[in-house]
Amino acid sequence: MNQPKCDCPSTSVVTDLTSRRAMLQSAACGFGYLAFAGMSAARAGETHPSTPLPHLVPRAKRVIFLFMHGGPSHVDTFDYKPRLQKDDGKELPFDKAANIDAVPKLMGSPWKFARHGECGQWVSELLPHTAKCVDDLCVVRSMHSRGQSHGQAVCMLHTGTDTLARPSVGAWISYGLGTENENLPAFVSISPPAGHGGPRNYGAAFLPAAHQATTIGSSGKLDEAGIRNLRNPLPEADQRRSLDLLQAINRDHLARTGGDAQIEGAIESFELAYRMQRVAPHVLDISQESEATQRLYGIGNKDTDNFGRQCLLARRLAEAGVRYIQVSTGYTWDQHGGLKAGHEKNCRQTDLPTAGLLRDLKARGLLDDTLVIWGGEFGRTPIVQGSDGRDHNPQGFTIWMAGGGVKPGIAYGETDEYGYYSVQDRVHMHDLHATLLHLLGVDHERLTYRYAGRDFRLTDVYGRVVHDILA
Amino acid sequence: MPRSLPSCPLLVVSPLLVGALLLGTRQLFAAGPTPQQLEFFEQQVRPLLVKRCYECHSADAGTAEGGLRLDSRDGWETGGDSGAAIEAGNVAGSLLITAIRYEGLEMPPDGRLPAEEVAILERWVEMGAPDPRTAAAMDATRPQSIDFDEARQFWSFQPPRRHDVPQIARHDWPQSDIDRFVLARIEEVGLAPTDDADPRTWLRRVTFDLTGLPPTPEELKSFQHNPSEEARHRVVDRLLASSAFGEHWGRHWLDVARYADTNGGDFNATFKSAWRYRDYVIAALNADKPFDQFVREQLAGDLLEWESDEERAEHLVATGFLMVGCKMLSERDKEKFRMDVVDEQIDTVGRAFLGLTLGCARCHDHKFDPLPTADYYALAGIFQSTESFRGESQKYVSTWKEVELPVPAEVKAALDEYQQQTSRLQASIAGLEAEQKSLSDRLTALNPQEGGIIVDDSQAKLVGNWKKSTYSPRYFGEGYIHNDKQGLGEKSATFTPTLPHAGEYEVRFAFAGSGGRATNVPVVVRHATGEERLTVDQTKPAPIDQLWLSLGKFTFEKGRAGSVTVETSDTNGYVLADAMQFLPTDPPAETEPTAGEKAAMARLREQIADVGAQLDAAQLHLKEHQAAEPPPIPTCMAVREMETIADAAIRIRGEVHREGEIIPRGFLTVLAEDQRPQLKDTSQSGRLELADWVASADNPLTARVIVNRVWQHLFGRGIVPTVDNFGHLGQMPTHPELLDTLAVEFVDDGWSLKRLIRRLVLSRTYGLSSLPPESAGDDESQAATSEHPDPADELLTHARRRRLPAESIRDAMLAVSGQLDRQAGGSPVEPLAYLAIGTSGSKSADLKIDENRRRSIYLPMVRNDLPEMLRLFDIADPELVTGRRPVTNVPAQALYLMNSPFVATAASETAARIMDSTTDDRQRLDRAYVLLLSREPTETERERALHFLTADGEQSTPQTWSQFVHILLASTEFRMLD
Repeated sequence: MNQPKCDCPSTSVVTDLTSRRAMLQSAACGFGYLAFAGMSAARAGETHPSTPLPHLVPRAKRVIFLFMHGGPSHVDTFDYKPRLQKDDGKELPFDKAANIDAVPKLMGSPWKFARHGECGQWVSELLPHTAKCVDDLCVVRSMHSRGQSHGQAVCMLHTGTDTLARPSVGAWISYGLGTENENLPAFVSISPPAGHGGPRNYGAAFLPAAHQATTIGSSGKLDEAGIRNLRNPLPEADQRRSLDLLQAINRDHLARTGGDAQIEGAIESFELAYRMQRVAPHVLDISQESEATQRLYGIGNKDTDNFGRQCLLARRLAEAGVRYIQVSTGYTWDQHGGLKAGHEKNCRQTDLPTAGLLRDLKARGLLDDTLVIWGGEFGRTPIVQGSDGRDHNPQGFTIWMAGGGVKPGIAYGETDEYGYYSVQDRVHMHDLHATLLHLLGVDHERLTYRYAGRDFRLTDVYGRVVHDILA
Repeated sequence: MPRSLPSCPLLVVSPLLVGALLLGTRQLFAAGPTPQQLEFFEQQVRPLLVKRCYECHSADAGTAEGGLRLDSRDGWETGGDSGAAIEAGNVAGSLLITAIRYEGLEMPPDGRLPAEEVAILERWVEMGAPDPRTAAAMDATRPQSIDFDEARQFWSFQPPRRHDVPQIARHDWPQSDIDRFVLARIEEVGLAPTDDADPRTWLRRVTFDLTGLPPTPEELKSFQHNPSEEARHRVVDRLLASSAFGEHWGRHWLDVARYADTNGGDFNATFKSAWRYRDYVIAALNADKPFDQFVREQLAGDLLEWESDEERAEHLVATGFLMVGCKMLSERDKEKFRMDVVDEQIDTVGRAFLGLTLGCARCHDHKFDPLPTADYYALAGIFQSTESFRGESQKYVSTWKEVELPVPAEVKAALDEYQQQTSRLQASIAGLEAEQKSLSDRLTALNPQEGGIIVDDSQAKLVGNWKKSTYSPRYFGEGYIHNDKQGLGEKSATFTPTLPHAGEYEVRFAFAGSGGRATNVPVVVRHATGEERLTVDQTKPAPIDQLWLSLGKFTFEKGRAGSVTVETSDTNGYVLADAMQFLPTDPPAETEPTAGEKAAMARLREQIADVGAQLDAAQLHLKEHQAAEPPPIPTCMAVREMETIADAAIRIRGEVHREGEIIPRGFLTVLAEDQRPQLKDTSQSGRLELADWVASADNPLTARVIVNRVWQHLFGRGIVPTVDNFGHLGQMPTHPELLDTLAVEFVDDGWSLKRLIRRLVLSRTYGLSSLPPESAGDDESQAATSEHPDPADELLTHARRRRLPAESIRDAMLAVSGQLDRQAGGSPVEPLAYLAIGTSGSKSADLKIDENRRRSIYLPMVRNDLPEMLRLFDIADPELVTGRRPVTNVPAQALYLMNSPFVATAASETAARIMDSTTDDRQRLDRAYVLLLSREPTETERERALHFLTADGEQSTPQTWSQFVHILLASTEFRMLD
């Protein structure tokens, strides 16, 4: 484990960022917070020449994170281990991790692997469609993380800690970069997990609440794909008439106070909300997509319809200027038993839509500045649990990235010859976070927020940018 | 994480490679490195250290992670947090070597060194670690020791004292000493306080501030009629005496106590009895329990003396304070879990009572406050000797043990008697059931015509690992088997009967159907003319005796030619197999039972009927008995002393498994005159002494912190604005003498919160208008310049306009609509299961929050699923200690106010109430304004509203009224205190 380097702030290290945020939270701005956050990103150059964000030249403008909740097996998908296949049924020749139920007996992958693409990377037959996109993928096979249970590992993935309540990745990005579209939030989580931390995984914790995700659907299900309280029962003209009177009353209140930032902010946020009501349903309406596009995502096919809709919605949100979009499969990947049937079903449901998303982004030229990340909270053991299962494996697993600023068609890092422990060019979850922020032009050590007397960061006192995978 | 990897051959061999050198090198080391050794260092070791280690462990890089530097001999000799990195000559005992071998520490963290490089360093250590790099200074990386004498000079660590009332010019202005302290600062900068707020503004402000509810039109009318000084006193006394006071101020404390009704975190367990702590807090506020006692009870109620069962119960419930935080219950490393719980408790106690961020000292000495790690572990010993959690609710998931509240002896005796009687009745029923079953099985065996041939699961041929079970009470034989939802497609169970003759048989399949089973169990019947594939739904009980399902009639050969196989491919739930029955449809004559058999069967049938009757009677008896079940002994979430009381070891860098020095239990050095105060009685955990130490008049922080919290709630900002941080990173007090004087008075006045609040709200300062004084100007450009005498707006020249807290907005909407349900107390989470929110989604819908009309403090606080309205309007996040809530302004709030059913309902109910009061729209408007905004409309407002209500010259309607009230509910004025 990396030794913590203390970054409790020296008193002078209150960044301009902090003071700018402090200003807009407390007073002065005539905009609702969200609008300001958006504006700060879009017009920072003009209005705040000294603004420190982005710290670096961004390679990606936005992120789509495809969360495989439950932990997909890396040794059955991207991390091909001939030795594991060969030693199937044999005793694991070294210690297994503590506190797991798997027995130290190796289990070869029930699926065949083959090389794909010009890069010739190994992908198993579970993911035939993703395999066709392998030349676009940057596969990180040396991930490791904290948390032997889902709850810890899921929170670690989303918030950078397995213990405490901390802001989520998307909230940090919203806080740091704001939104590109002032009528939409910066951070949207599609069908996020209800358990294993639930909203903590898309929450703002001590960051201003505006940075928490707007959610659509829950637990892997898209449902009606709506944002809460977005619909007003009144005809538009009546609603506008009501709003006009409300705003007149509010403006009177403002005038009586001789100016009050909170009242001003409320007046603006009513206008924003009204505009959101007009804009958001349009963005959320995937029926506007052509039949060919819908087919690309597997929409209309029973197996792929749900995840396909989620992926297509993610693309529409990305296009509309949302910074950080997460899509979650629901808690489906946890195959302690029934690995074969379970993983086959999960892949059947997600493989085609995932590939469809990559192809669609590419065709629209969006992949250049959109970073797509695929992964779970951990991988699965190369040793067997029951007769047909694998246990949790934060000790070594695989994620992949594609698009915005990562090297395409490479594999980075290695696990040991059985795929158990990450051993070469190890990438900790903190490192992934640091790299992700780097790609967005943010220095993870400088994106801080002062809370309870300390400057906090997403990566706490850890994290290093994995420069080797940057394009 | 300690672990071992497959041994790399070079690693094992490497000591042997250098073995020949060994004996000589130790002697050489004593005499100083030889030229050959120095050459080895320069050529092999130094480049390796530079390449692999300096990035994080050198002065040049400006980093010394873990306190360790490897760019000098001093560096590794002194070592880091874990001690010396190298013991010259001792390979196995050198941390540097175990770390690069990835035994324990894993260095470098991004990947293991190649074996050759490991071998080089091993060889170097083996030969005595010759190292010419001796000059570098180490002081930059060693922690500075704290100069406590100097640290104690910081304002908040000095004891508060009563200050003389300052001299002021406007002698006629103050109504109390508070005003004099405030006025002095205002006059100092050449300003004057603004005008007094008008009576209705004052009444609205004080009513919301003290009770969280709006004044009623009647209260408003009465006060406006006579807004005298005496009337103000009467209003304040009335509000302080109302039960709504505790419901509002209790919520302020619950923010600090990070109260919730479920755990949240990774495993959202329901805290079924946390509400008792909530109700305790409300009652304590309403009873004006002295704050020092309130502190003692929450930290150590279980260790306090008591005089009555009620008092004992109160004390136990109070310690729920230490329990209701959010824990990562599924943490598998239970030592880490234990220390995380301790940390959460220390951090909460520090922030809540002392305004200190003690949690920072878990890993290192606090960077800014004089809080050494040793002080942290002195406290950790106290909480480590306190039991909060015990056992597991399921594998790896920690749980707590509810503590029984005291009940009268006779209640306990009655309950014991009830439970014993229940056990007796259940035992007799079980005996009768077993007897009945045994008789039935005997009858079946005697009666092939009736029973046919039965093949039990114990006789079936099984493929794969099936689990035996008796979980469902209905089964044939000794139990049944299921597939554990695993190994789908691999497992099967084949039932092969030995049939006495060829012919047609009805095949019946026994299984205990219920929810969670598969709907699509494949069953294959192999009969005389082929095989038939069927699908069986096991989610419902089978139709025959709730056990048997007929699969149809099939022809079989005599003997063991036919069979039935239960398969598991693609099944979507548990697959059960219990027994298979083959009933001849046309029994041949030769199987006619003998007379003896017939008699035996008749006897058995009689016995079965007899036992059945007894069983029915016994079950009825049990049912009647259970109907009269006495209520269970109430329980609460409380801490207790651990069986083993012990001091804690420092955890180096906060890493749970790296123990350092053991620190005797005690309190904070900086708050003592000299040494860290230690326990007088070490046989207890020390919580009681800690409680006394925190709740002492001599503790410089406790009274200041609570007085400041109260001030903040009434004036919109603390005298110390960072209410949870009184350390160096907190803000300095704007009125230090006032804060100190108030703190001293508060203690002298018996730690009474109500009397403190009374003093504050009856000050003239509290009653100021929110419009800034004329002299300060309302010109924004002037306000922004640095010449402004009060640029930070902290001198209290005028009242601070505030948005109401989320609860007050909701409660006020319910109050004005006449729908507020004032029922107090009780469990808000009764419908929730042990796990409040599972991975598949929230069960909070069962809580019917939208239909709940009670005060917001009584709504269920389900972590990760807080009531939407409260969450949107910035309720404190119960995962964090929150002394000051953020106030946000986001479109989601506007969307909620415009479009949510809750606000729409409140609007229509309020509108109906207003329309009922009179038929005249003008009078209705007056009523609406008074009810919602505590004032009458201006003439302009009246005309504008009437125009809206009667658009196009139509009559006003319930719809237009509802829309209009909706607008007022959504207005900024409704949710702000001017």
